[in-house]
Amino acid sequence: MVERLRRWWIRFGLAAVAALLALGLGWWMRQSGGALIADLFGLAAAPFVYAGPTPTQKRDDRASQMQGRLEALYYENRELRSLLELEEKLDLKTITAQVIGRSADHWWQGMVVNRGGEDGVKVGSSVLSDGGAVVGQVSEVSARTSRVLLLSDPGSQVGVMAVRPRLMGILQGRRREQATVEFFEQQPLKPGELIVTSGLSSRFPAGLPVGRVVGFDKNQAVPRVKITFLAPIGRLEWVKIYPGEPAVKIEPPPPPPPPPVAEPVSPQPAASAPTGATTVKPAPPTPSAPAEVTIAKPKAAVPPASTPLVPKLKPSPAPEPEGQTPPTFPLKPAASPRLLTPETDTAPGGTPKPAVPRPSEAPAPSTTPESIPAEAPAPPPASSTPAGEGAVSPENRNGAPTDATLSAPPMH
Amino acid sequence: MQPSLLRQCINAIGTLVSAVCALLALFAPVPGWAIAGIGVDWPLIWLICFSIRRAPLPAGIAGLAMGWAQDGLTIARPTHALGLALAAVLTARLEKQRFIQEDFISVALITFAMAVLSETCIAVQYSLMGVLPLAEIWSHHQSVALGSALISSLWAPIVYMPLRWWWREPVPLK
Repeated sequence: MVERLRRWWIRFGLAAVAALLALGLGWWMRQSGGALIADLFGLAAAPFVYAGPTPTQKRDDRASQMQGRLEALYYENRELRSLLELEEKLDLKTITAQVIGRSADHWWQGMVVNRGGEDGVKVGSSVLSDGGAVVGQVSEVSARTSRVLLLSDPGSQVGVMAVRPRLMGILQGRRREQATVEFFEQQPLKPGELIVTSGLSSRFPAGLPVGRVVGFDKNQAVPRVKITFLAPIGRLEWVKIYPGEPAVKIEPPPPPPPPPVAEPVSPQPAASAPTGATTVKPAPPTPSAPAEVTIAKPKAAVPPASTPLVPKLKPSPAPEPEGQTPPTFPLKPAASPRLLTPETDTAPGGTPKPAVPRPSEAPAPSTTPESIPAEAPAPPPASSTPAGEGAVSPENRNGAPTDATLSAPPMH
Repeated sequence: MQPSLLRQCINAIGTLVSAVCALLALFAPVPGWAIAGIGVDWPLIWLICFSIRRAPLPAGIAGLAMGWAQDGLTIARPTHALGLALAAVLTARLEKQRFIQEDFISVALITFAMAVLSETCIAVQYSLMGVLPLAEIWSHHQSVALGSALISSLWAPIVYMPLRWWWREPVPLK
């Protein structure tokens, strides 16, 4: 018996060990996701790293993708402005990776990139083209490489949205540069419509451009739309990986600005005003304006800063008549910002130009009602000279930070 | 006559390295290695070269191991192991050295047939899984099987020649 075993071992021992080894290796590779091979390939491919697409090609791709992204953001922005403030926060730490390999079989649409776990890539990270269009998702990570499942793989389904009609649908890859989207509602889409990832997709951050509609098939029970990807999925060279979880945060609207308190210091109310306004660009009016308000009437503050404010101010000057009540004025600066806010909303629509003609009289009005009083002070030539000089003196004061107080003094 | 132990070890290492090279080549995006977007099936070519003068059992084992390794590089379901093992066993059963003489041509022919077979195995598995519409699977199968068979059979002789040289004294397992 032992002798037979021994003979068997001499004859087949090595072969048996080799077979076991081969099977073990194969199984281990399967379990480890082929990490060894992928990393080896990364090493082997290193010397042949491609220099990158030609500049013009890159620029073209990027331009078209940027345009798509811009469009997406524009519509999204417009939508959101009227609702809550929804902020999409992508982790800005992106990892730039180079595509070093293609799919390892004919059925699976993927690629290999040269960044892996050591660089912070995680399974599930979103992968974008360098223009910002979605490309796929990291499906497997090894130390120095990772594998990306492309959107064109039939196995990757992504929630998407047609930007303009706000239609939700599901995108499914078709192994080509084109994919199909099944929408939940039946509504014809025009070719060229932009498709972005929807907020319903838990796999990608919302609002990233995906593709454009190229065809519409009405004969299906479920409306099915053909799209082409914005990113050149077939010839990607560089990609960006967002390692962070897709995070879409809905934040409560900012608290209303605190009720204006009669404070002599104008800058504070000014600051609050813009926040309340939210929609309008806060930058231009802001703090500088109030300060100038009282003073600037004649000319100085005029051109840039005051322009947006001016239109609003004008209405306020109308009530001027009372202008002569000096004691109230100091308080008004605080109130004025509040007035401004609603107006600021209108302001963008309003023509900035009209402001220009007025500036001579109204520039100071930036703080509104005060402008009038300011004019008023001129008549009471407390100072040596009439209006003109009065104007000058306030300006000098403008140089000084305290304004509310300034407004008062001329009155006196 | 058993070759020496050292000799056998070197043989085995060489075989392993060539198999790893076949797997590595899968990833390489070399322009001439694809036809209509369908690349060469290097593991299949290696497997056929390996099986052509061996017994069905070791060929099947090699096919299984190679298939699992390729699973690791792509996705595990459906598995590549089934198709590759089947192709390897069939190739070994052909007993080529007994019936066919022309090396180059016959290797290309066998590769052509086996590429179709292994792609069909995957397509059948996809059909059984039922995640994709049947029509789509089989229309894709048409193009993939044909493309893969063409391009793989063109490249097969180039892999076969050095490997045959390496295995020029095949271990008589039978």
